[in-house]
Amino acid sequence: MCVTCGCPTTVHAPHSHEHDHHHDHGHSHNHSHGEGTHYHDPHHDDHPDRAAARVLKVEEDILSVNNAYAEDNRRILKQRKILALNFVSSPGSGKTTLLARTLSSKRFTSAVIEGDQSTDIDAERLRATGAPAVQINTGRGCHLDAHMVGHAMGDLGIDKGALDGGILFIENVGNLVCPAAFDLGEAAKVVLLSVTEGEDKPLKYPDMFRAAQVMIVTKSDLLPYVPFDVGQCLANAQKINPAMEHLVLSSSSGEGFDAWLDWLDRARKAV
Amino acid sequence: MHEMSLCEGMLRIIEKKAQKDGFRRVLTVRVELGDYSGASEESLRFCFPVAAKGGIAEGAEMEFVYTHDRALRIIDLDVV
Repeated sequence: MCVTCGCPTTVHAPHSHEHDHHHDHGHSHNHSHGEGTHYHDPHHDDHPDRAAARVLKVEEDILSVNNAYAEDNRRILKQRKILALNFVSSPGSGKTTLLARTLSSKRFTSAVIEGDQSTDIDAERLRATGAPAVQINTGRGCHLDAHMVGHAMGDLGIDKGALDGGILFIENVGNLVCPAAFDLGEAAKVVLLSVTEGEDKPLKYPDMFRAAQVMIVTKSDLLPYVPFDVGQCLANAQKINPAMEHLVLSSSSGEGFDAWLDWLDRARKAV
Repeated sequence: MHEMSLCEGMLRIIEKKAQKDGFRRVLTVRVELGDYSGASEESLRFCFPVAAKGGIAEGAEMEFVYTHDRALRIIDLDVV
């Protein structure tokens, strides 16, 4: 690897992708073996151990550790008949405000797991509704993982029956990229997109919109003041994930909110 | 930058494998990387040496095989 910029030194078939930089370091040579053409740093080939090396099959999913924890969480949630939803969005899309209004409706037995890099401001805010809330601070981490969520579920007493038949709301770290890759054991990822963002977000962040089962367009009360085209947004979302459901609402005016609470009720009964 | 956690996940798999199969160094890690894996080769290459520092995979070369799915796994290792 090039030590100054970290750029790749390997190029492969069958997939070709364009890089915006050139491999003109002058210290590599290439040769082909089998399927692809590889560019090796010369010092690797000169490594005295290389002649003695053996190939060891691994065939293991890099997310396998996370996925095993996620399956443990899912098993507990299923036993306890709990609907778990993983809320994802960019920071400031209105996840906490949506949850605060949802919890204040008192229609469901609920608990919250809050993920933020730092502070317990959000958990504190949601506890004010009367629902139990556990805050996870990820520190340098940019997403929640299934191991952290498992511990938080334990803190909430979920395995001991504290939320049987209820809804577990998991508010992920505000980030439209990384949380897409991590299964937490949830029934569905719910992605929020506020009208103060662009309607092209589903196209620009396709991994997240592909991973989600539901999209909620939030802050609809601001539509008269911003150039946000709801129809175009839904068309973009449809293009990325045709099976994704959608709702449009405002957590401050309450517009469209009953449809959301009804959606939750149906999803909870389906567990 | 969740590639750092992915690299830590890779190292856990490698260390577990080392305990079982008894090797002392990893020279190459071959990774299958799908177009829809949500991870990028550039970031993995950037993060792996940082995560691997001081361990059995320090200095290991990375090779990538691309697929058109969500694959994100270690295929095999060159070890001594």
